[in-house]
This record gives sequence, structure tokens and C-alpha cells, in this order.
Amino acid sequence: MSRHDAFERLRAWDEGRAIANGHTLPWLRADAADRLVLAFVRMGGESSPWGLCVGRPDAPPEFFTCAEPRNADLHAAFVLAAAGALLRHVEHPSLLADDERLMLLAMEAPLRARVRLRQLWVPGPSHLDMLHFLDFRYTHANTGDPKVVRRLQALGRVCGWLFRESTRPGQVRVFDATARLRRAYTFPAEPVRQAHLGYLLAWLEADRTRDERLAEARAREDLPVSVTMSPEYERATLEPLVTRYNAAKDDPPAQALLAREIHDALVPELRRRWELTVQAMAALDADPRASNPHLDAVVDLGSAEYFHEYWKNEAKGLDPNLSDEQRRYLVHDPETDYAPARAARRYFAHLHAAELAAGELVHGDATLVEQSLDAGNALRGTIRAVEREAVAGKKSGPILWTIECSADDSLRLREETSVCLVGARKRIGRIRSLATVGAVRTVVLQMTDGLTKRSLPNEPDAADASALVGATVTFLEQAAAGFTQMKIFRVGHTDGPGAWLTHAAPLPEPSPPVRIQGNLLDLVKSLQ
Amino acid sequence: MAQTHLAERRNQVLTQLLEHVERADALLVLKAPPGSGKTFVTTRAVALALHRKRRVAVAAQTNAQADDFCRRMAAEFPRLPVHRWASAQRGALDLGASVSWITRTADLPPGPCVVVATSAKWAVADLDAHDPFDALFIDEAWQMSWADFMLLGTVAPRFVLVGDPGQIAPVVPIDVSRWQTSRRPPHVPAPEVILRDRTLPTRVIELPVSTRLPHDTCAMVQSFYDFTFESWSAPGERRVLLPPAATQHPVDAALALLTTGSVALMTLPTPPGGPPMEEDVALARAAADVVRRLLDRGARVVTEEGETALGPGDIGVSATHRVMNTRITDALGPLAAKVRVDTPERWQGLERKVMVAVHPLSGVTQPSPFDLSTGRLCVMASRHSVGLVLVSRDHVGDTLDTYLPVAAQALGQRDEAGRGRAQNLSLWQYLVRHERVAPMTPPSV
Repeated sequence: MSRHDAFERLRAWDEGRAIANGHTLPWLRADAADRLVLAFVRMGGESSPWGLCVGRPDAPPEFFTCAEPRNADLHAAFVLAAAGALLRHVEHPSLLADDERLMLLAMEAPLRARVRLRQLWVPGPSHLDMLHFLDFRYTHANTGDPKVVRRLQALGRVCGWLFRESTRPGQVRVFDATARLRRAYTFPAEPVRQAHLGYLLAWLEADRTRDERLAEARAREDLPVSVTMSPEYERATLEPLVTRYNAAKDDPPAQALLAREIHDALVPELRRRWELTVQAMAALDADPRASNPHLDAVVDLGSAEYFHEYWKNEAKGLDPNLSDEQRRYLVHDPETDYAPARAARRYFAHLHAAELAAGELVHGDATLVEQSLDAGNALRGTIRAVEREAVAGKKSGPILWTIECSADDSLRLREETSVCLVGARKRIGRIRSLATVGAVRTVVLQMTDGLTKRSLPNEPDAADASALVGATVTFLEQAAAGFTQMKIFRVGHTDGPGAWLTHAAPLPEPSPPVRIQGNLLDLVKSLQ
Repeated sequence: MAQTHLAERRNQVLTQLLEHVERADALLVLKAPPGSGKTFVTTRAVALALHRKRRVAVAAQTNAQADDFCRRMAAEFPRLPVHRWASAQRGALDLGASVSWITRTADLPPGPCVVVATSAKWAVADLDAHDPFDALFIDEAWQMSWADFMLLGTVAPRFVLVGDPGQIAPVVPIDVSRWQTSRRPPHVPAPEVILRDRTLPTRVIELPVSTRLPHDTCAMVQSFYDFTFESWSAPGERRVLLPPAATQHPVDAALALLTTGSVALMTLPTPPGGPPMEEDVALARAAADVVRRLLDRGARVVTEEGETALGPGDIGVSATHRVMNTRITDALGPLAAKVRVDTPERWQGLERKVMVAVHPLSGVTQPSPFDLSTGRLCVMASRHSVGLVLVSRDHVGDTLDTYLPVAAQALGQRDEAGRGRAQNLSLWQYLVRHERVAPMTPPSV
């Protein structure tokens, strides 16, 4: 925990409520039509979901359950019934007419615009794990009616993509409500308690005292919000029903009645989780803070990921002429990326996403700038000199800014680091030197970009203007997102001479045998 | 007397490397402990390859490393031309008469040559219009992730990877659980991925001698390595000499330990409310006090070459957090201009006679797997040729002792956090067992 976090948590305790973290929210608000809320429960000791609840936040949700989740056929039937909601949410190409699908495949922009703000909300991280589980269970489903199997596989793949997307840094498509609340607010509680969505929401209640909020939070904490239900509830209410259901295997009408009873017992559990998520969403929507104004690049990257990592493959996979091998190539394994080039490409894609999100959003939120200063990833000071360095044989040398900062400020930046000016991010400099004397730290920057007024029309002065002396400036470490993005594309090159090692291409012809003659140590010595 | 009999063993390893180059075999990994002469052997292998009319590419992980390699080539093989290929944004440096500075891809020379650049430069270079290189030498290869290594497949068909397996792994700032079980995990150091794959025609050789590390330090850091090596120096051959002090100073007890061995652990009491977090001003001042006191007392050092006075340029300081390094620099005052203070990442490849290092776990009461990774500690504990003072809050032993690894790694994968904890604890216990710990009273401020 950083000093800033510790201070803010103490302040939240002092004020007796959750306090805003940052001046903006790092995601865009979306219409209810673009949002889907999903919650799961599972049987104690089992991995697979027992029931799920899904729906738009402005309409009653649908409930899907399974009387006996350990029965593979029943389980498949239950998730199959629920698949439509998820597939519609991601505009699965099988739901589109052929013409439209082919048009979108050739021209991605309209589709990307249509789904730009689509959001899936879940109560917490264990619900995301359920998506991963469904990916494992159904992406490679292979027995049963081919039509059903294809639908189950499609469900597995969409769950897999949504789960993978949830792990991409800075993504704004899959929302873990608990994590988003913690991102938006500082809560006056230890981290382990902040894992409970109901607990967090109690701290956001208006017109309460600290003690009232604390009491409410503790009361809500008694009711589980993860996918696991209360053991007492399962033991006392559900277990007898399931036992009777299994015992009635030769009596379908009785089983149907018991299945209905199990469904009715699961519904309140699912509803509570779903409603808490909707409440969290509503709380965040009601927050007076605007969204970060620099989100566009982050959201655009998300829609590009959607198209290239999910939708395009799904659309291509609908081609009946594809061979099994071609089809397999379109499917991502639930466990990992086995192909080294793909693993490296996705690794670079996630690195790029992290750099882009960090580098963009900090320019849109003064709190993030302060946090960067606090963490030593930025510097703030007063310009004491602006000069051009004399370089022999050149008409004008580089522009140097001498900035004086307080030596008490934390600083992680060092020589050679590129930094950009807060408020005019295209004005970039490289730290030439750092020196501390007494209470003053002197930083000399060599300005490298955004030097003229033409390049920065909103800035009153060019970088070499003496009028800048005396101004207070803040510089942030310059993100190098473009370089990583280049690697994403280049790592796919499989035709280099070393591809036998890097990309598992065939081994090269062995070198012809060489007979070592003479003493190589002496030979090398003679070269010195 | 130095253990000169070890020279023969080192020459054998060098010969193996030269034979590999001579035969133009496909893949070699050279494991090298700290101060074992990685650059010494690599420059010789590169020189031989050029002598055999090959096109040789050398990839370093940073510009500073690339520059150093060129300087070494120029100093040791002044008749062999070397090309330093760098970004146009960097000003040309004088790296030696035989080194030419180029910035454009079009300037890459045809025919036999040696071209030195950073891995990043090679990774994005478009080499299609040029003759392919015959071999690529990668320096400090353990600092390079497999994903970054893949980008170098366009450079050459043969690879020699040289590095120190105990050093700091590539920085991974994102969640990589998706790729933990990948056949070639993109975030793992490239040589490790290669060594795990038994189907590759990999030849592995290990340098057996550290010329840098004192005898007892070799024993201390051995637990970070999966192969054994020895020190060039004999037991007790290198030491710090301290004239008697007129007055007492809180750091003197720790300094006294350096006169009887190469390592001292100086501890500061942990405050009852827990240690300060990332930025521990008292610890920074204590580290600066050690430097100042060594110089004030007129410390001298004894090595195989004889006895010399210890100057500010012979001392280095390292802390894992840059904010701590800034604090130490501030505390050193004017001395900071002569004493290098930096993170372990930037100390890699460098050495000083005496090092002062802030223990990476000092102030960390709930270590994460990242905290427990031993690369930083290994680097910090292996930059000195005579003496090392580790400075730490005294909770670290207890923290490690009570920490329970959760083994959160994927099935079938190595428990890196548990292993890191065991190695950290082993080093701490080594220091306690060998009575190398000296508590310090809080420094006068």
C-alpha cells in the first residue's frame, strides 16, 4: 500500500464513508441496452455453475438453473438455455444474416462502433472464474447432437474470450463490480473485507453516520456474494431437495416438481447477487465525476480486440467449407496459448494495453498526476532557465530547461528517462542530469519534441521562449506504447534465418564438420 | 595466493566456446556466475568468428552494455573493426579507434563484420535488404524475455546466449497467468525457455570461476545457482583494513566485521508499529553513514594486487527502489558525485571494491512473489570484490521465517515464491550462523 493509499483510507475512516478516488472514472457510462449483468452460484465442492441470472439492468433478469449440476446432460441443457443472452450481447455472427455478416467481416468499423460500449457486469472475481470454467467445459465439447454441440462450443468460446478480455490491462468491456467500486472509491476497511460487494455498497449509503454504515456493512457481509452459497442454506434447504431429486429418477413428474423447487430455492440467491451488481452500477452512474477525457484510445483498442480476437474468428468459423484443422486454428485454448508466436503476440498485446491505459488516462485526471508525483514517477518544479546549448559546427543546439524541484519529493525518474509535460503532452524532454544540493533538486531536461508553437497550438510559447522562466511545470514519464505495439506485429514474422529456434521452423542444415586445428586460445591471442 | 590452478579450468571452458564458434554450431548457452569474465570470453569468441570471415551480430540489453562491449573489443582487439549501431537520437560516442558509430540500417556493412546494438534495435530492424548475419551473440541473455528473443529470429541462424542465471529476470508488469503453462512462456527469460526444451540442439557450458567475488561470498551466493563455481581469491585473501577510530560510531560494529570477512549485515531495529514502507529515511541515512565512515576512517583494501586506499569511486550503493536511492543520494551530499547509487537492475555488469546494499526485503512485512524473487538480492550481493555491507531492518529474518508460501503457481510449474523464500532465508541464516550480523543503534540525525 502506498502512502497515498494509506492516507486516503484514514481520511475515509475519518469521514465515515467511502471517498472518491480520482477526479474522473476510467471507463465510459453506457446505456442499459449495452449492458448485461450476469451472476452465478455453484454447488459447494463443485466447479460448475448451478444456476445463473442474466439480464439488462433496466429489466427483470432471467434465471437459469440445473437441478443436478453433476449430471453432464442436465448441465449442458441448462447452459444451453442461457447461451442466447451472452451470444446476443456480443453480436455473435451466427445471429446475423449472411449478407450482413459478410459485410461486417469485410468492413469492421460499423460493428466496432455498434459494440463499442458493450459492457458485461458481474458481482466479483469468482463470477469471472465461472466464465473460465464454462470455457474449459464447453469450448471443446464433442459429443451429442452436432447442432447442440456447436452451440455449446460457441458458448464456451464467448465465455473464454470474455474471461481473457477481463485480464487485459485497462479493458472496459468486462466489469467486476467489486473491483470497479474499489477503483472508484477508497473504503475505510482492510483489503480482505473490501472483497464483499455488499459491504462496499453499505459504505456508499447517503445520509448515514460512520457507525450506521459500519453496522450496515457488517450485516450485509453475512450474506455471501461470491458464487459459493452459505453452507447452512445449501445443507438445510438445497441438499434435501437434490437428494430427493436423485432418488426420484424413475418418476419424471416428481423430478420435474423437485427441479422447480430447486430452481425456486436458487433464485433468491442469484437475484441478490444480480441486484447488488445493478446497485453498484447505479452507484457508479450516479457519481458526479465525469469519465476520463482520454479514454478514447483505450475504448478503441477494446473494440479492435473484440473484432480481431473474437468476432472475426467466430464469423470465419461459420464457413462450412473450413477443414477441422483450419477451424481449430480459430479457437483459443482455454488453458493457454500453446503456439509460441501467439503467446508472444498476446503477451505484447497485454503489455501494450497496460502502457496505453497508463499513459493516456494520467493526462485526464489530476489525481493520477498527484499519485504519480507521490510515487516518484513524475516531477514538478519551477523553470529557472531556458537556453540553447552551443554545439560546435551547428547553428542551434538542443533546447535545455533547468527545473528546480524540492529535494523532499520522491523521485524514481533518472537520467535518460523521457518525460512529457502535463497539459501539453506532445512537449517531450529527456532528463539530461539530476543533482541535489541541500533542499533543492535541479533537473536539466533536453527538450526533444513539441518545440514549436505550431506543433502545440494551445501552448502560448515555443519551447525556447524565455517567457517560460518562472513557470511551474509537471512532467510525467513518457509511455513507450508504440514500441510494444510494433512488436505485436513483428513477432509473427516466421521467415527469419533463426526461425527454427524462435518460431519452431524446421532445423537448418547442420554445418559441415570442421576439424579443429591448432590451439584456438593461441589463435585468439594472436588477434589481440 | 590466488587460486591460479583455476585458470586452467576457465581456459577449458573458453576453448569449448571457441570450438563451438569454429564449428559454426547452432545454439549455445553460456552460464556465467558474477564476475566470471562473460565479456572476456565473449569478445574472444566474437573475434574468432570475425577472423573466420563471418558476419557477427551482438545484442546487448541496454545502450550502456552495448557501449561497454564495444570499448572492450576496441581495447582488447584494436585491429578488428566493430560497428556500434545506435539510435539517431543518441549522440555518437568515442568508444575506441576501431569502433565506428552508425545510425542508419542502410549503413550496415556488407561482408564479414561485427555489429553491436541493443536487443530492442535488432528487434525492430528491417534486415531484408542486407546479407544475413551468420551468428548472433546475446549478452546478459537472462535479462531478456522469450517474447523479445523471438523478435531476433530475423537476425541470424546461429545463437550464442551468454548470461548470469542468478540475475534479475525481465520485468513483467502485467498478469501473465494465462501463459504460465505455455510451451514457451513469453515472459520467462529466453535461456530458461531454451534449456527447458530438450528437443533443441543446445550446448550448455558454465564458467567455473568468479574473479570478482571474495572466497566467502562465493559460498554465500552459491544457493542462487544450479551449478557450482569457485572464487579466484583464496580464503581471507581480500579484506578491508580499518585504522583504529578515535571516536565510536553506530556503524563501526558492522565495519569491524569487514576486517574478518567479506560480508556484514547491519540491522536497524524495526519500530514497534512496523517498518517504514518503501521509503525508509533512517535506513537511507544509515547506508550513507557506512560510506562516509569508511572514508573518514581511511579504510584500505587488500587484494591479490596488494594494498590500496579505499576512495569514494571504489564504493557503490544499491537499493531496489529508486525513491530510496534518491534518499541515499541526498544523504550522501557532495559524496554522491563520486559514489554511484543505483538500483540493482542498473548495477548488473558493474562492480566496486566495497558495496553497501539495502536489503530488498527490508520494510516488506508481507512479501509478494515479486518481493521474494531473488534476482535483485543476488545482484546486490555480488557486485563487490572485497566487502559488502547489507543494511536492513531487523524484521527480515522473522518475516521470512513466518511466511507461508501459498504455491499459487499453475500445476506442474515451479514454486518460484517458495523457492525464493527458501533462498532468501538461507542467505539470512548464513549471515546469522557465521556471525556476520551487527545491530546498529539509530543513527544520530
